[in-house]
Amino acid sequence: MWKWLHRLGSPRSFFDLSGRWLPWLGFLAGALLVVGAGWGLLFAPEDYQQGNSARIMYVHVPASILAQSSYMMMAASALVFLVWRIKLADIAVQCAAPIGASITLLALVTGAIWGKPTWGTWWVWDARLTSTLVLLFLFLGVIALRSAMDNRDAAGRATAVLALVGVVNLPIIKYSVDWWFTLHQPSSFSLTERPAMPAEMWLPLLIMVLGFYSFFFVAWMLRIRAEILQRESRTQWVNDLVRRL
Amino acid sequence: MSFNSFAEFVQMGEHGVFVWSCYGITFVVLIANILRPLHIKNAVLRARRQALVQEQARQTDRDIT
Repeated sequence: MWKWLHRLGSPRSFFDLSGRWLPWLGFLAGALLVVGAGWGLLFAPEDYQQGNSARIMYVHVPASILAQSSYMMMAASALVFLVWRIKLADIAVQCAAPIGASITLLALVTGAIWGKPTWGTWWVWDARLTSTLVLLFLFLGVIALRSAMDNRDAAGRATAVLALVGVVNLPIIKYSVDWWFTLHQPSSFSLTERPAMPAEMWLPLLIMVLGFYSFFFVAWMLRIRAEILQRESRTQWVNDLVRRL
Repeated sequence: MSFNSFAEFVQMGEHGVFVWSCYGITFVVLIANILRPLHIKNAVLRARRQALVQEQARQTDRDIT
């Protein structure tokens, strides 16, 4: 097990292994997203209060969940990098940030578009919306900090620390709907209770959430692979790879 | 099926603009996240191949002279 993990930590073997996983994971992500979106748009019932605008849920909720999870995964990679100095973990932090930022922005934009017909406004300084905006700034901060520093090692350590400090924002997002009960509704889901909506609604939602997660791993791997090639472009194995193309 | 006709599906009962813009933006964001790294990867490989070809050419020059 440790040997295997160690092997995975080397950029070159990760490049080889991820190349084998990607087609399967890509197919899984595509299939889940197509089925989930088709189900949510065509077959799921409309909400008795919100009508068809509730179909925005099938992209907004998965995007919001993934926005937070991707931050958590980035922070976990940062911790691995700080403790064990694994190069691949640093690459993972760097590559998670732009994906996380775009997904957080997606959650905010779809939320705003859903808010207009439902709450009558695009934006309010509600606790959950504000803390999600802070999440976007944290992702952007990680990107900006890295690009501002020339020394790759120092930049890696600084961004890892920033990513870890930003974790305090995650429980704030999670409990914001309970602590400050303003406009955003509390979660309709938890791991321990039955969902507060019929199966025809939560099943496609679950499929979309799984689809978004698979998508994230595909996009993350693709970025990590590109970054590995960039960082190791002067090594023998990359030269061999280029010659074989 | 929740809709009786294609027109109804597109209209989404007054909410068509909101629903379709959300799905459109989502599609664009997801696709961009897939295409961007592929583009970077190809650029790196292309640059590396050019460098190798040049290196090779210099090597042959040296061998001839």
